[in-house]
Amino acid sequence: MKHLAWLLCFVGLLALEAPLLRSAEHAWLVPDVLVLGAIYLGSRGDWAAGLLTAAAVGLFKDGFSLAAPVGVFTEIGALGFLATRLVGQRVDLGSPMPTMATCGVGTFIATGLFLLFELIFHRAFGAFEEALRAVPSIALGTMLLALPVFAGLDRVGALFDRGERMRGVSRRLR
Amino acid sequence: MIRALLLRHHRRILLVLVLVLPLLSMYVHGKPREGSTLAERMLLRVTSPLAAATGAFEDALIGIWTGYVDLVGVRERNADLEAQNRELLGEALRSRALGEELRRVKRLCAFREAKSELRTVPARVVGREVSQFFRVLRVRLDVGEMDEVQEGQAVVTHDGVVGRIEKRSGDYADVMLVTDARSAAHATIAGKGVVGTARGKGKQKEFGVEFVHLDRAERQEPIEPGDAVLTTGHDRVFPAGLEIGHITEATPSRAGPYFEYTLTPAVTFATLEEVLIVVAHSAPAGELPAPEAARKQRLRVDPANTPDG
Repeated sequence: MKHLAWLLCFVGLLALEAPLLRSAEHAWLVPDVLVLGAIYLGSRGDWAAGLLTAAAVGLFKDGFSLAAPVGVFTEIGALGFLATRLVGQRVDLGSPMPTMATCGVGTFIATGLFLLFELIFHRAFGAFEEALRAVPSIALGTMLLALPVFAGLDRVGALFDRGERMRGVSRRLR
Repeated sequence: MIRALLLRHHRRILLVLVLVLPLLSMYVHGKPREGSTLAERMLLRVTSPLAAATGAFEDALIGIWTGYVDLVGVRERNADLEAQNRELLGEALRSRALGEELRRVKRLCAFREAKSELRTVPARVVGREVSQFFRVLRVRLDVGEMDEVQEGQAVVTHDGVVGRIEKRSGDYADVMLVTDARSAAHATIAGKGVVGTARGKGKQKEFGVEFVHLDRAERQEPIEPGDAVLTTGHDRVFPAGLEIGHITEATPSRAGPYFEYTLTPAVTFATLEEVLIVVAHSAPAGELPAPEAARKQRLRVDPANTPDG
């Protein structure tokens, strides 16, 4: 349930992001919600549910963008989740600075993966230069948005954890 | 056995599915093709309403931001626009004034052509002497070096009589208006068969109002407000047939043997810009109502205002 709630939150954020991405004026300022999702789920989520949720966030991003072949962002979401699981073993992703740094680096890697997949699977894509030029600002936006988004999602997760604890207590009492 | 295998390797299976399926999807959707796939249609169906809703929400937010918050530079832009507006208004007023002037000059030219028996020269009003109650008492004309302009000549417009040249000094000439207390013009009420003298009243509080002294003897038709008072030409100053003004009050007052009617001048002196100076005209010969002739016709005329008087 917790993962479903997180998925809904990320879908909401993607929906807010989508109109801005379509505007050429604002596209270079929009944070990468998929990177936030993959890192958050990789650091807080369960393995299987988290992986599926991250892939689902990617799939929704595929749906909202439709500029790239369906599956590009799903793959990036899943890979991001797995990479975060690996990084999380060495870096404390509960602290603000490592979280922001991971989000910044994650944006660069995600953009690199996106360009790689585009190069391999979508020969028609030609805006490589623009994409590379926009990465620093997108990374900065993602870093700045990471902390409030993660704090909000922590609150959402806490609501479900408390609910589950209460249900466990009542089961034991019965 | 399969269930046990799935349970034991569920992580690996999930990992392979999550990583391989998107790659397959990319391969399928990356190929050039016509139309959209089932996956694309389904994704569109799910995401389009959400994107539309958030788009509308963001448009509203942007509208609030740009309309009510982000007003940096609006003051400067407003000042620029106000300056531009003032400039354009000035231009519009200048255009309107030019249009008005053109209309006036056209009418003046038409009048000049219609009155071909008069020899007139045009002049521009360069000054107005006004009383403290804004009544125009006298106007000054720029006559340039026109030697033919002399004192006593009539000044007219297409609307009617303005007055007569009172004094000339150099390039300028002062005009005594028909409303001036010293002014008198031989006049008739159009179509009413009465003659008399239109005198300026010159009273401070009676703006643009003058008196006419008229003999009412043998009058056939009643005099009514709006009746035009025209020059007869018998005073040898004002050419015949020009409008002096019109009657504003039907009830006359008695002044000795005469009836006095109040007139409103035909010309608005406050807005006068261009005039014609009558430098020569032929007086209506044989029409001069001498006192004797008038008596014969049982008409009474103020002798002081006849040319002989």
